Amino acid sequence: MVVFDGSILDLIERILVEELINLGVGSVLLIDMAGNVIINLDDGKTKYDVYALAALAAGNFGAVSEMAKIIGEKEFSLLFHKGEKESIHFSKVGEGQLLITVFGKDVTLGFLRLKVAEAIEKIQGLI
Amino acid sequence: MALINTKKKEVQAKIVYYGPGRGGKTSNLEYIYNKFQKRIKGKLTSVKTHGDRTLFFDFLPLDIGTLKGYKIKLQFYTVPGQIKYKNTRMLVLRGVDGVVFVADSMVLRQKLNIVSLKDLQENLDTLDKNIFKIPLVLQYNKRDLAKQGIPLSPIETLERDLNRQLKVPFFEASALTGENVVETMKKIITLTVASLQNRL
Amino acid sequence: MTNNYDVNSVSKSSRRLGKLLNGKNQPGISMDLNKPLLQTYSFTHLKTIIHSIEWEITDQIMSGLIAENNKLKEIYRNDKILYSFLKLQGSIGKYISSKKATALPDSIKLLHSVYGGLEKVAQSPKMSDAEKKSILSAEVNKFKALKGQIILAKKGMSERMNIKSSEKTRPVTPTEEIRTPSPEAAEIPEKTVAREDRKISSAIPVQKSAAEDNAIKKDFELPGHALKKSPLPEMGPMIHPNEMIAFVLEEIKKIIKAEFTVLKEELKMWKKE
Repeated sequence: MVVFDGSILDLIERILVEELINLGVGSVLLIDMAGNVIINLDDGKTKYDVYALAALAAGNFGAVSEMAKIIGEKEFSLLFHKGEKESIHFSKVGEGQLLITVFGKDVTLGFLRLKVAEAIEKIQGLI
Repeated sequence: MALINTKKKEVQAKIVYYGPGRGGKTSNLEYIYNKFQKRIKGKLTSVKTHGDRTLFFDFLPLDIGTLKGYKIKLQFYTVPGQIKYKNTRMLVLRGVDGVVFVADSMVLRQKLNIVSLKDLQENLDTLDKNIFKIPLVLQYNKRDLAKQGIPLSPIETLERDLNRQLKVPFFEASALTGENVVETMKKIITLTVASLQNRL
Repeated sequence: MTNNYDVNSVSKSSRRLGKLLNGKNQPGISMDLNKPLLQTYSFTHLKTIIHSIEWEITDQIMSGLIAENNKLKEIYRNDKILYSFLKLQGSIGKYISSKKATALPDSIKLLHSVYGGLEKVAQSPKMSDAEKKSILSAEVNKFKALKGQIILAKKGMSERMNIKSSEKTRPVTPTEEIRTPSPEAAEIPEKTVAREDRKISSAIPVQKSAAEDNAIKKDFELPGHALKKSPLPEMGPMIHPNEMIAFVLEEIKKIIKAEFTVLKEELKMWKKE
């Protein structure tokens, strides 16, 4: 069983809002590898079935990680799906969590990756 | 692994329906979803093949109320039963808190039941979980086929082959008609929540 | 001795050879030797780098951008408009390279936008100068707007720093403009303090240290001219944070005025041409 303290979650939320939501990212999910939702933030405009998204994201990430091992890679450095209007980016946080960002055309992937790396560096010590 | 959010006062737990291919795991969830659709906030999400076989998993979130001031949110998953999807089953089992093993009562499928149960034990072992300790319920599905003259394994046989050592609760059921589907679900919820309660 | 060649063929060949040696062009081949061959230099490599920035922003990629940008500036130094585009792009590239995750998101968009303008102008040889200038002008305006945003962001940050520094004493880093008073300062007699204040308020800027100079230079530079930046005032122990902000704002005003002056001059030159 993993317990997430309210004050830590507040800190993490603040970091994610500052680094990502304020950048223009539509939705940020911090989940565990089992598909449980730890933190769910959005810009107020976007609404998804976050639980289904989290379950699929965890499964997707897990599947892709296994594929990496099969081809002799430890892991892939980029997991990203590009849509016509919305795209989705995955990033590992430590060994047990995933940071998922859903963003539109206003945000470039390259810059998002910088911001995600920055956010993860800040929250890694808290988890 | 169950997740406790002290900020939201919420507990999330994972229950997986396991078993051989075409055993009735997805049918269980579909029955539950259809029966309680109006009361369930979430949708049944399925990743299937074109032939309607589970490819990755089915997923159904369920809120079952509060316990000790905490909202209990359960995530129900099924795994793909076909032998070739062993790795996928492992992925879906990650973080599991409770298991329903859906056995196929048809005589022809008995060997597959045994192989699948062994597979479950191995996968749980890899995930540092013990099949003898995790909340577990057995469901002997497709009992309705007896009316159609299809040979079914007697309950004694199923019990001897699958439950002799485990000694866990079991239900004779039919995911098609709904017989004991909800009872199976209630039992696994009770067992899972009880195990969480001890740790809350 | 009889010749075993056709006189007509020989004369035809001679005529063709003559044309060739006299520099007469074959149809479809441009052989204007007055134009430098390098004018047809491709922007492909630059395009590749710009596209890769969409995927990833690393030191390697940004160095590559700046290097390619410098190379192209050298090649196109005689083409004012392309050169201006490249200078714009270079400034933005340097800014993103130095700020990385803390760069304003609009800088990335502007980088792509400037490249888009550059590509359009470069690939349209038949485009009129007026059109080209119009495209360049649009990018320059966006660039100015971005500069304004950066200045505002800096101002906001320095105000936050002031609030923090007034709450507690903390060690100075090279990028900070405000020094905390040393313990000895509290014991300095009143006369000396007053003298220090007078010295600062009537400051003739004093040579600043190399570190400070580099920190300033790393800031966003306007292309097209070298800005004369006044060095920071002497950082005595008693300088008030508000005085520092006032000085920085004055400098910003000077920079903006200088930019406008240079732009006016450039527009005048283009009009003459």
